[in-house]
Amino acid sequence: MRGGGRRDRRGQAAVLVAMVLFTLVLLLALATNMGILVNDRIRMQNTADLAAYAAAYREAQVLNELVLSNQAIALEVAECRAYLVGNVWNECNCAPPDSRAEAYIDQCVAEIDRLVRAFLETADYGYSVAPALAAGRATADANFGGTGSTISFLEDLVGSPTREGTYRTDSDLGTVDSIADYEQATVVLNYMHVVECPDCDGACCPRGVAYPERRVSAWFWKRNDDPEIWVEGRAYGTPRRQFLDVAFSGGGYFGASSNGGDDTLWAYAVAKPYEGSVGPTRLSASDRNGEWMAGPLYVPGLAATPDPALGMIDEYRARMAGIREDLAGGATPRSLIDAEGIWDSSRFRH
Amino acid sequence: MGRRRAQSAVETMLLVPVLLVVMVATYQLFTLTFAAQNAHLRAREHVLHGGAYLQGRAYRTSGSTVFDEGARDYRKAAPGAFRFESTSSDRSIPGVGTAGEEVTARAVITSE
Repeated sequence: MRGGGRRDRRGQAAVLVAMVLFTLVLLLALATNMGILVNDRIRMQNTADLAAYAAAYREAQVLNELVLSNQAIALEVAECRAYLVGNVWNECNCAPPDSRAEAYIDQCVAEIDRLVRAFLETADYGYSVAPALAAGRATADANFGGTGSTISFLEDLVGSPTREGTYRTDSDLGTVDSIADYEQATVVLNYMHVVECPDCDGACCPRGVAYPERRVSAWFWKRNDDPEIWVEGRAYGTPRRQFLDVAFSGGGYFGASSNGGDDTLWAYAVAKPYEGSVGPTRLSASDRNGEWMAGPLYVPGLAATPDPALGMIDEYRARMAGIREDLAGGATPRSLIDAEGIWDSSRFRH
Repeated sequence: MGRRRAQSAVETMLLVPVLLVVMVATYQLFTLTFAAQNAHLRAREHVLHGGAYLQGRAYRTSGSTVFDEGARDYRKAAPGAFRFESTSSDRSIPGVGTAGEEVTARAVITSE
């Protein structure tokens, strides 16, 4: 009996060692999986951050181009006005307008139209926002291979700054889906015409003064009063490597795999000026940082009828943006945006 | 009875080294994971903010950044294709039989 008991106990240690080793190896595997999972989450968040930033940087580039383009229009108007004011227009034709002045204005209008077309091409969604989203995806792929196709920028949401059709730029030369809500300003080109008639013994004699004018669609101003252009990067999905599958559904590390829990990682970036704004007319004049008179005009009471605002500056940068603290309490940025169906940048800060 | 006591001692003697190896391996894995996470986070910080928040630390960073160190300000978005790339390296804590593994992470902001 006692001898049989010893025989039964033989191998007991081996079983114990095997069980302990199995447990330890399992713990090591879990620790490894957790480390890699956390690491990949960090990489995913980095990817979302950097993708959003890249898109915002591209949008800042476009805004800077638009500012320069807009200023070129304003400068052309200023040059035209200076020339019209600096010359004497006294055609001997008994009645305005002066054909030489009108021919000059025609040249001005043609040049302004060319610059306006350049503005529209730059503001167009295909040139501005679409490449920004492409930059975001390229950046995502560069940081975490394969995530570029899973990066989303709220393109599917009505009112999203990255959704085509959200903003429109209206012009006499057409309307384009655009990076922001721009409207073309109408300005005046006029001149003083000294009206003369050839009836003073065959010579021209003055009959009075007229102020012929031409209204020209020129530079642009921004309708919506949000000075920044927002972009949201959203990396979501499961890391390609899958971990922590206690159900052993196959594949993965140490024979383990799982859905890992889908993660949606958010990031916000914004293209914004450091000072001033892109020209919302509801801001104070000092905040517009650029409202100005494009050259002199022969218009009495000029101060009371200033040109439409030209409120753009050329110092756009991209910045990362944080989510407001009042989003705490379980609400996600996306759920808020979805619920309201609008893009409200006041919910975010930066 | 005496033989069984010896058996326990042998089992313990066998198990303790294995346990120690597993514990040390787990610790080293932790330090390696920590270094990797640190490297990724620092690379991201560097490409976005340059050395503004990274001075005086043990890890190493290098590369181009959207933060202009000279002007102490963020770069104006200049026209054209862009690529900013930073790398950051950190080393796991030296352990048994290893001098610590160096982990290098990269953060990229690019238009194409």
